[in-house]
Amino acid sequence: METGRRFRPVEFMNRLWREKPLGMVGAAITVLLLLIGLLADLLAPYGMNEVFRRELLERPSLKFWLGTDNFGRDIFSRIIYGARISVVVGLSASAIAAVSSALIGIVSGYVGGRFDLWIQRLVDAWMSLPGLVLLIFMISVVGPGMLQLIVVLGLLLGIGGSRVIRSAVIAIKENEYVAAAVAVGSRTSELLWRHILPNIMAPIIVQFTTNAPQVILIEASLSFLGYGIPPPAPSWGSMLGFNARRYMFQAWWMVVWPGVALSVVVFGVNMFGDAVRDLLDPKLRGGAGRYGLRKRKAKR
Amino acid sequence: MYKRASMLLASLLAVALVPALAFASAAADAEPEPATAAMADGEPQYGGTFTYLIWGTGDAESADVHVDIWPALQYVSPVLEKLANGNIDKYGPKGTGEYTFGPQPTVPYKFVEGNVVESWEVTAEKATLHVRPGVFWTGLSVNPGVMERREYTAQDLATILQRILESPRGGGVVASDFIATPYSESIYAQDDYTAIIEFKQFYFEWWTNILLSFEQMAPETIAAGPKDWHNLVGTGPFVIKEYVSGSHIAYQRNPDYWKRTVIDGKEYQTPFVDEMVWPFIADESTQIAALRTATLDAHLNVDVSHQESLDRTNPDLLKTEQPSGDANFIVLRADKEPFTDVNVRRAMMIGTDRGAIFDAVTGIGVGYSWPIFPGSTGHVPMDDLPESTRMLFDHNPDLARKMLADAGYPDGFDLEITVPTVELEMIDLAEMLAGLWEQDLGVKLNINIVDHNAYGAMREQRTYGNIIMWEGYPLLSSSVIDYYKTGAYSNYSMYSNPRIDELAAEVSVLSEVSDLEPLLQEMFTIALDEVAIIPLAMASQYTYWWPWVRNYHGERNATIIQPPVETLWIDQALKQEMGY
Repeated sequence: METGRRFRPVEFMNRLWREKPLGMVGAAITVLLLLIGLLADLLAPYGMNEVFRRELLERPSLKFWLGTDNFGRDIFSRIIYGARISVVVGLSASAIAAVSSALIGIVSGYVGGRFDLWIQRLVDAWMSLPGLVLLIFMISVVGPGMLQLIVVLGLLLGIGGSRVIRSAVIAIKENEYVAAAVAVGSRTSELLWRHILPNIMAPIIVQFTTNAPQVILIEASLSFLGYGIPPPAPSWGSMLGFNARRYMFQAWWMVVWPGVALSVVVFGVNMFGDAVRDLLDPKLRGGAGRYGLRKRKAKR
Repeated sequence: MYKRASMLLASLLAVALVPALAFASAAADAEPEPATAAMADGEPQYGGTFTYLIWGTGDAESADVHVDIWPALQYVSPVLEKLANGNIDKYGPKGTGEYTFGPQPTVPYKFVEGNVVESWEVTAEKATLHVRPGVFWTGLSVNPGVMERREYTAQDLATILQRILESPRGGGVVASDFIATPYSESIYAQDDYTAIIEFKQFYFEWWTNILLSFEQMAPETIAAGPKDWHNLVGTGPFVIKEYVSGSHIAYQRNPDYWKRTVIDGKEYQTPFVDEMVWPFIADESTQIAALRTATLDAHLNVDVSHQESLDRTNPDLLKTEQPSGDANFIVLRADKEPFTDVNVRRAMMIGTDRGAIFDAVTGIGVGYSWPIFPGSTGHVPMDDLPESTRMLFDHNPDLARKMLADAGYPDGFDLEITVPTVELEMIDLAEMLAGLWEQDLGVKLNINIVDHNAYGAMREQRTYGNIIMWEGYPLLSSSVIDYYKTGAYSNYSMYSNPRIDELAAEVSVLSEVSDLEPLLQEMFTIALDEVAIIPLAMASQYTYWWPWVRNYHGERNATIIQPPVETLWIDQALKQEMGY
């Protein structure tokens, strides 16, 4: 990752626009998702749990753009409200993951020695557990719910991700300016805050953007399995769950639209995340990536 | 530039492919065709193999159904008989049609006849059971030398009943509220054909716990190791041929079965089929595929959701629809706010659109079956209910809102409903209810989905919030006591009414149906009127079978969890003619 250089958002967006157009499409989808999530109350034609009791399993029509489900609820409205769940869970869990991985990674990498050894063995042990099984177990213990899901997902991804941050911290702390700060008597907390953290923002941001689609997918998977956000909240995963499968031959729209929404969003956020990683990771920038190859050929 | 454009195009195509495929599959939709009508049964035929299943099946580690009930109970039925049984031929679909003999777990007393016990007398002090002469333990087990063929006696009956009552299963039965330990140690054989059970305390539904509950397993099997399927010896129409773990259980005909049947005036030795196979197929889709391809001759528990496609793809299959026996209901905590006020409880029922829930979730079934099923002693037909009770069944959200406002809740309130993770239908019901109550009553319902075991513990210890979703079997008249008597085992609403307690005490010691009926009906009406429970609906299940399964009309001899396997036969010529 690009460490040792401060992250500048405007410059970054310019480069994204110029060098990674697919990433820009992904960014647009991500922004659209954010807007839909924020403005769901204004955009949705009906309430997320509004039941049209005489209009069960209605085909897509002018009244119900994407049809109704087996309870007579408007699928379009539920997908819009579902975007809010994806946004909240995706951003919050990724934020918790970023903060927890930064905390663990910085402390472990900077302190080093036996402390680092022990922390890393704990991280190894954590990473050796199968993620989905661990999640289902933890959710079974704390019970399903949005808050529980956010915290559990954030910690799950954060602990694993701390290794990347630790590596970056180990590289940074060997720089002369860090030695200089130590020599002039900077306190450890000041040193970590002013000299280490700003220089590892790039890998933290990359982790955040690559975690977000993962979190959205995991939330959908858990809700699909009945361990995620409890009904009647319109999580896209639960919309794809038991009833969608049960009625898929009678009402294809119950399974298709939440699936499309999930696919498009995960595709978009992934493209954005990949582009961010490509641009911020010096190993990929102008090197191994296909755009990098093309640029190199052009330079010749 | 070209590469970028093609990448973007490919991405868009990939996203568009999903709905395109779905549209294409939807185009294959067609209107279902009805199943063909039942065919004439013709001359009975011996021979052939009958392959079937009922519930989602899997391995039963132990065959000892006196101790480990499930899933072994369903597999032992062709081998181990019960003392009495429902009279399918007389009252079922091929008889008077008074009772469907569907999946319900019991049979009303008036449809019960003797089986290995041919008759009985009962007083408040004791039951005298007359064992049928000529019933034999087959002596046929897979493991050799378990026992020789010998006659079933009253001593066997007493030994088995005593063992069951001392087992965890018997303990469970005795511990349930309604049975109130009616047995003493004085179960004994007066002679070879007469067994006596002296009651500690008489209970009006004694017959269901004694006559219809206990499988007659040979004492020699118990001595040889009752957990081993290959030691199993009974008196039933079939004997175990093999039990293959993870695969199937196979039975073969008991050539010396005691029961005869009369068809068109001619008496026949039963059973007719040579072999039966129950394959272990846990996955529901695979079960349905097995039925479609005639790997199964019959499936006695097909979910409503498969009906349309089965009727469309296999119009030759015959089917019946029968109420499942378990009714879903919403338990309101009568000891907690806001449900301490009977008017709030009544408002909730009046404001619950049971019809919409029925249409959306249950689909087909019986709408009015709680707390006593139609046909069972004590049931009051809807038209005979007082107006104040009947009005509870008419959805009237305006009246309900007014009643809530009068009770001090003009803006509704927040509630929490507890449902278990594995009960998908209950989760559906709760989800539908959440939408409807918010719309109609302004009541916000939070759904608390908990692990099945945690749910069980919460239910038993009464640690749930305002509401819990549950299901019950209202087939027995005692369900009205079980769910509404103060402190009763299944009184999850913590409801209490002195009149119901008084009636329950009176009812418990009466043996004449004519004496029981008015008391049970009064309890029925009070229980409904005070709405400690909002009854929803009893869903139906389908039984499907191929036309070559003859002398069968979709009935299930409920007390032994089987179709009447001794009287059906396979029309092998027809099966071949149909290409199977």
